[in-house]
Amino acid sequence: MKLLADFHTAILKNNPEKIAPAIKAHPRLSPEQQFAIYADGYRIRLAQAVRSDYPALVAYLGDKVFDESALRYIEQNSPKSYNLDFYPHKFAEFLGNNSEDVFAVELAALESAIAEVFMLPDSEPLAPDALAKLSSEEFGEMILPLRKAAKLLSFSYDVNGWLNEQRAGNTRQLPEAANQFLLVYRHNNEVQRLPVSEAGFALLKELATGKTVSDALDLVINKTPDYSEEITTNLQNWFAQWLVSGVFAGQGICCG
Amino acid sequence: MNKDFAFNHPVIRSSDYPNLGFGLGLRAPHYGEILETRPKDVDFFEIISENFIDAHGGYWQFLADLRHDYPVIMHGVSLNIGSPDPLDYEYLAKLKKLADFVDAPWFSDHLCWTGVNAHNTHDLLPLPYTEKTLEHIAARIKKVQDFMGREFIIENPSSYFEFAQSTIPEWEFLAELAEKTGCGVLLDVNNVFVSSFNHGFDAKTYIDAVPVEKIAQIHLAGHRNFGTHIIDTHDQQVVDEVWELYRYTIKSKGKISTMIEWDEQIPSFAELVAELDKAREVV
Repeated sequence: MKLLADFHTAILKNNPEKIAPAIKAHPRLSPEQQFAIYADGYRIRLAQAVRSDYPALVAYLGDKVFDESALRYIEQNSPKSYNLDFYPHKFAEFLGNNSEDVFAVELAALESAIAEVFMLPDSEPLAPDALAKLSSEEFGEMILPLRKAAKLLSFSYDVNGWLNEQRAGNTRQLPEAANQFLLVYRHNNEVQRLPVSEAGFALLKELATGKTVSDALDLVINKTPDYSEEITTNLQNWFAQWLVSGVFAGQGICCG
Repeated sequence: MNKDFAFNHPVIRSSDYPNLGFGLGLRAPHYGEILETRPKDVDFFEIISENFIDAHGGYWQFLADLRHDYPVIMHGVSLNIGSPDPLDYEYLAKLKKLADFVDAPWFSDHLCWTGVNAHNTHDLLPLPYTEKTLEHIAARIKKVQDFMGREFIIENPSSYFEFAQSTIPEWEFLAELAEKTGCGVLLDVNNVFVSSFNHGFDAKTYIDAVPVEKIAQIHLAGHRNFGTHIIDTHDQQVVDEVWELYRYTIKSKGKISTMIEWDEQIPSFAELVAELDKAREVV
């Protein structure tokens, strides 16, 4: 089976040298031309897969620049999963390591998160009234994990707004730099993008690690005392919105 | 039995598999329309297994809904049956879960390999057809069938080169594989045509060599002819020569579950059904 390994290597390296002698003579095509059908097909297929997960990034970068980046990604990353849908997910990270265009990198991160969250495992949402009858002490002892299909993202540009406009068919200039915090999660089988404040983001991050509500609040406020007033003012509204929006998973665990 | 009758009339074999009728490959642009209209002119749907095994619950609900009205058969592209790599039992476990969920009458994949050393090219790569390869794949098919506990059928691929070291014609290899393992055959008539053009063999010789009782299903699809070679693109209508070969197949093998594959530049559902009607007319 060394033959198959050689063929595989030849495809990855796009070099028919080792495999050409093993290809049966053909009346119309040279061994190199026959090999190229597979080698080119490999690159075209993967490029299409990457492109399909990053339509807004394609619109922002243009076909030429995007395709050059995608091809570099393909040359450096051979797929390992049986599922081609997973292959494009790491492209955003690749772009982050290889591009100085911060907006492009952030837009890629958002589109990658959307694609990943679409495929992450299911989890039931916490019922909106699950916390209604708890005392404040009991509420503080609750552990409220995020849905399994969820990612918290922070940006230095309004990439979410840009994506909304692009999807609506509107062309937009590059937005001004502005910190943005986003929870990307799946609810009712659809990927949601929920903007949150910086303090809300910090709180959700701590809750996502499995801390109780009290511990998460203490940690966030101790780390950044400036958040204290905002959290005190908005805490009830935040949790009401997060519960209605299906942000938390399953039965909240009361560690009592 | 009247022995004279038996003696004077040749035994006409037929497929050992139930004839499900005329089906379509289930593709995302048509999900909504299919659920809404429940088309009566489609007898079954074939899903690409990899599109669903990792999909979220909404897709599984959709399949459950669809399964209520149609048989759902599973067609895979990542079994990697010809590879020297060990079988991927994590993948097989997911495949089994899905097959049990949709109660698939059978599941299929291709006579090919997709990668080595745990990499996947996501292509259906050609194999050297030798006795050694035959033994290797037969042993793996038996393991897959044991694990899945369900009928496995294997599809003849389109290919764009042949290995010089091959010693067995593909049609003999396929027939022998079915005989050795008890698996069925998914006879892709378009693939037979494509490979016959690319490699210069007689397509009817191929069809004749596949034992009818082993043929569970037939695939039809469009391709692109570049003059020097044909690529199996699944992006347009079935060409006349492939319809002719399908007509020959049905005439010699009898009625067999048949479906149209269309994966790129996917047309309206009505256009797909019209293509399926052409297959009905042949039969």
